Amino acid sequence: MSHAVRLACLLLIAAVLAPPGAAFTSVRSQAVEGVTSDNALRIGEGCAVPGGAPLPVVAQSVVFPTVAPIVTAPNGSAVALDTVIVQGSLAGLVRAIEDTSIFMSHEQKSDALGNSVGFAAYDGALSPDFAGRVPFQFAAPMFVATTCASRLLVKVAVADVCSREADDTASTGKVNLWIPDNGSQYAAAGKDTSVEGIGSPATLIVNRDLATNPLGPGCGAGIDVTVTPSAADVDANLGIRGVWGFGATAASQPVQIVEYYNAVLDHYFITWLPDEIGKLDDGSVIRGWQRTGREFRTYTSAAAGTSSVCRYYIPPGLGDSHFFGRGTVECTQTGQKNPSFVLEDPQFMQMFLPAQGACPANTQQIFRVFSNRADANHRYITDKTTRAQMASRGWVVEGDGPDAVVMCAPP
Amino acid sequence: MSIGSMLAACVAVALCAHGAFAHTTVRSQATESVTEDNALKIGHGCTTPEGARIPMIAQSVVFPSAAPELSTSDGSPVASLDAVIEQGTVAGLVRAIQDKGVFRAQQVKRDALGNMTGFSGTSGSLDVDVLGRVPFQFAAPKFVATSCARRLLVKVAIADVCLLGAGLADSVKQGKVNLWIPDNGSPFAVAGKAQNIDGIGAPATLTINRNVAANPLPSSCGAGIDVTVTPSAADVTVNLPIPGVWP
Repeated sequence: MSHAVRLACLLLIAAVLAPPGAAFTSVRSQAVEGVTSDNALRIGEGCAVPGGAPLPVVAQSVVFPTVAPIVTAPNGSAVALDTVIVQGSLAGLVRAIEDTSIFMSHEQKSDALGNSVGFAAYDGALSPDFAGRVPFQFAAPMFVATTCASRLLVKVAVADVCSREADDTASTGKVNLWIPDNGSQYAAAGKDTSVEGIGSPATLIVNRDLATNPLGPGCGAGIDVTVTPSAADVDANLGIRGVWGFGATAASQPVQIVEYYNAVLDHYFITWLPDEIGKLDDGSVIRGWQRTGREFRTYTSAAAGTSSVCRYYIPPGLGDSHFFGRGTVECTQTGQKNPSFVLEDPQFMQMFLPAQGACPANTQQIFRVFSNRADANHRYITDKTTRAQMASRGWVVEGDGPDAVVMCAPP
Repeated sequence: MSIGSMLAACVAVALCAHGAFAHTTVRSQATESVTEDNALKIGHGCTTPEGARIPMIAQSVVFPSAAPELSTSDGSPVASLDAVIEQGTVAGLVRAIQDKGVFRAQQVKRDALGNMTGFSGTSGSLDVDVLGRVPFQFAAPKFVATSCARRLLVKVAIADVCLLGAGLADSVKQGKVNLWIPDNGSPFAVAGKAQNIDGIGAPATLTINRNVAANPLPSSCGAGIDVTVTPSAADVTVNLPIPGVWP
């Protein structure tokens, strides 16, 4: 046995013995040519922080190889993809499946022709205590009858994002980048800071259906063909516009937060998520909520001077409502004091924090009142008159400084 | 076959089918050394003595960890799990998967060494007409080569909670909880039997099959045996509660 073969065997054995899914982000199932089936990415871990608790994954970006992909035979020689699969490209084969177990916002990545090339999800958090599954649908391509390929190994570039701060795009402990090590700016920056995953993209194996599409007599047992995202592909598609990635936050613009009221519960609720707004307005899925007509603005990704605002869900026994915590300190303290609260998103909004109750110039004061009832509910208000009316109904005013301000909204 | 015996057979089949349909069970069997996604299948909520059906709002799941009970299909003694699986314990093999399908809040259970031994879900409401699936990942252990075990049957203790009560006595009542737990003397089993709670003595079973192609039975083992590992009464007593929520 040659040294190269022995090494390959050792690597294979090591891969088999490694606890699958224990750490890497990987693809749950293999695929069979010509079959469209549901699959999932398995997130095995959050972002490891030396000496500290791992951070939750708050966003994920997934890129299938479509832009000038690198296609190779086992000996490293280049192969044309249209000689391997009938479709000639992987564009248009993957579709995201909406699932709010981890992330509340989902979007498809598409090429110029509108073909899907990947997907992204954000506005959520995967607790480090749990494994995560992000479902997708994949229409496995057909193998060209004359090719000797018996398997297509599709390398999928995945970013598991634990911080949406612009400076953390490729920082160790703030992101895991399961991407090829082939010169993209993400791989280069990630290697510099020892980010986990560089050179270890997820692999989706597509098996040839040898019963219906047998190998030619000269093919022997067949070969594996590997298709990998190019550096240009990763650089163009791994970022999540307005959320994460190199240059992603440069165009960050504030969005409207809409307030709703449920008369039966006497509860208020605010959100900027288009999906939630649609469902609340529609009233068929989430019933009983009406717009109050009050709105203010927030950034959805970090901007200069902003701090994260987290969103907790308060369980039914304690309120069946939501609490929005200011900055890391209040968010962390809220979780520690209320272990039954569900951290839905550690970075739901990006707002300015008041300094001793004073907001920065050109920002809007946001006040908070608490229902002070067993079914805890908080209301976020922009004017003092309404706050006074709420206080006269027994709601408790909360905030900092003489004006009792909790946060400051962008203009 | 007489009409009477046919009717009796039909009733028996119907009862068996209903029973299999209604229990909380494990979706799939496992194969040694393979890590796979699995799920608990929730068949129904709770039913009050008056027949009212109550949706499930919480669930607690305990895999055997502390001093588990061991038994074999042929009655042969097995001193410890070390003789059956290389890991020597089931602790640390299960991993909860974050999923908001049934419960909005989830928690994990760990032993003193930090190994995951179970999980729980709260803030849920499973419609009484809808089935529930609670996913988890399980890393099936490897059988000891010299063991005659062909299958390991892991009994999983589960509380399907429908209404919260004040303490154990008030919580373990018909219509408030189903307890798919071993009948081995825990306060939950004792109270559950007294209250005729659904599930006492019928914990869920996760079957782990030996990969006899890669890890064949020793020639002296014949067809092999089943080894059953069950949560001890102490294990259920300590780990079945959901801190701060139930009972």
